[in-house]
Amino acid sequence: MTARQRNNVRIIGEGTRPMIFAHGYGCDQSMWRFMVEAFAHDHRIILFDHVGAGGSDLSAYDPERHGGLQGYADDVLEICRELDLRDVVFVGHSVSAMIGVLASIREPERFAKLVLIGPSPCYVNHDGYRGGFSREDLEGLVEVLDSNQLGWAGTMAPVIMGNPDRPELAEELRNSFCRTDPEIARRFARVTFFSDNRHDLPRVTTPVLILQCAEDAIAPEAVGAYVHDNIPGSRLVRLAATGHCPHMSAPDETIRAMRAFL
Amino acid sequence: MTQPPSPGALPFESAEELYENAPFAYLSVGTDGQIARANRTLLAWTGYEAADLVGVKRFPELLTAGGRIFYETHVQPLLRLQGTVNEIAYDIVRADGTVFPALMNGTVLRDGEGRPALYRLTLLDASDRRAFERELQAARRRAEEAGEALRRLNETLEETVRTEVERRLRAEEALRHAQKMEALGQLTGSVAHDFNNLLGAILSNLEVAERHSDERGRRFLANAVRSVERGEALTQRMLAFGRKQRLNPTRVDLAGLVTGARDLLERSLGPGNRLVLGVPEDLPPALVDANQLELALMNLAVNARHAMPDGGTLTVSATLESAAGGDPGGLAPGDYLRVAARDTGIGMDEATLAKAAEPFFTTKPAGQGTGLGLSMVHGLAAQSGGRLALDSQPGEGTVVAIWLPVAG
Repeated sequence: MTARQRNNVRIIGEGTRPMIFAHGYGCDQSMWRFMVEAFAHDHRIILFDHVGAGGSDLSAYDPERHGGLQGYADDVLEICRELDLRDVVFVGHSVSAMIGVLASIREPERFAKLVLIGPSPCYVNHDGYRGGFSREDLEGLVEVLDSNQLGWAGTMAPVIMGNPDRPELAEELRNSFCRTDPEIARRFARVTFFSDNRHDLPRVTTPVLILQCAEDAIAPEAVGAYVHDNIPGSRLVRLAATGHCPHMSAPDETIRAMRAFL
Repeated sequence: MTQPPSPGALPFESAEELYENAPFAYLSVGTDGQIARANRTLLAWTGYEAADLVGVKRFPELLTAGGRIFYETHVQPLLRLQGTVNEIAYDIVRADGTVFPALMNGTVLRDGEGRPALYRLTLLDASDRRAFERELQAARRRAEEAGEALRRLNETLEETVRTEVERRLRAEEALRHAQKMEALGQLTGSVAHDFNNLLGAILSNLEVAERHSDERGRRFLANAVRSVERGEALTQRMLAFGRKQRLNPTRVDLAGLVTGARDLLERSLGPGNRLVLGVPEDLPPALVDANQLELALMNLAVNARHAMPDGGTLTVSATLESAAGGDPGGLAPGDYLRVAARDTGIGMDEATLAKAAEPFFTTKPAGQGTGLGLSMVHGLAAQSGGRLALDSQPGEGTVVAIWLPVAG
């Protein structure tokens, strides 16, 4: 199996400069819709789904490899190698910001720039560090996942899927975007939210742009500042956009900030 | 205030009244999560006043911490991408900190330029449904566990059946072998018996003839008598195999018997081979015909010599063993003395081993063996209430074990 098949890679755009977009936890490559519109005319855009998400090959999920963010970073590097990408602009949202950090540390020569949207090196509070969440909060997330993916909709979906003559049933029940395999989603949640990559930040040598939203419940401003302080030479832009997904809620502002950096 | 409806008229309903008292909680929130509007049902369910929420709280603040993460990572992107979300399972936190399960649907309301302006969220009280889901999940888990248990049972059942079938096949094979040996024994025994009588008649007639012969004739007759005696020795062995010989079982001290037979065994084993004896003195006595046992050991020594043309070691030992029910050799449960002769010779392959105790079967060149040595040992062991057990592999030597009952 090629990395292209494994990660459902799509290549779009008229430009030559490669720009790879890595989606965050809970979503898939469809979240980059507005960014693709903005950058396709002068970039070669590479979209992909992490294994377990979207149209990726679920059979490629390896509990050991994907039991840590480095495994996901290695997936990204394999895509880059397979497509022979150089001078890559890596745009990573949320957990994929750290995945990009790890990939660039392993093969710095491959990356020209990193754009980290809502990055957090560590979601759990530690002594003197405010990640924003306690362990109990994050265990609560797993419960919500279970309720949503193993509950009625999840239980009934296979039954409805067994009625191919009535596909509308499935569409009504399921949220058709950002589908994930429930079991992989559970594990990816743990990998995402229990990782601690604070010590990796100073090892980044690639130029970095940090996009920090106002009132981001997942990656609060203090966390963005922490990332900025610990990646030498990084640039921090505080967006007026609120929430955790400025590339969706405030695409224009996000595109402007990225253009200025690139 | 509206007037109470006149008799016969329908009760008054307004859109406002439907909104406020719908069986759903309605919320309008900004794309930043700020609560812009909430209906009376929501206030009743959560215990908040409108003033506590509208323009004050953000919707994620009504969620648990895990729910807030899910809102940012799943619900928001879904609303942006598909304009709606369906049946999101959430725990809603009431003003007093308690929670209730809800199902949330959401729709994006757009401004004049088509940009998302508000999210209209509806919440359905899902207490019963969540409880039902939990039961459903538990039932599914139980069904999966039961299926797994059944699968395991089937697997072990197959294994049990296979083991049992193999055990029975082995037992049938042992039975067939025993029946064959029994038939051979009866045949051999009756032939030997008749033959022995003939030899007896020949011998007595030879003795009479001897008295009436001259010196030269007596020499020939003496040769004839020796041949008859050899014939008698052979028939004795055949009788032994057929379990028809007269035995005189006594309490036999195996250590004493084996030590006493050392010279005899060493001579049978021949020069160039070593004899090792390992019979503890404190064994209980065996119930067996001492002379026949000695003869049996001698036969085994001769066989060992034949199996060790380049020299080797014969070890004769004895141990106290017990047989449980279902012994493959057909031993009754109880204590036995196992007298074993182990050589370091060429061993036997499976086919040879299977026939080794049959009468007249021999691996020795024609004229060198009667094929009655092991047969005699087999007959002795069986007639004494024990059994013969052979164990051998090519190149690994042979162990011949005679199981004998302990003298009561």
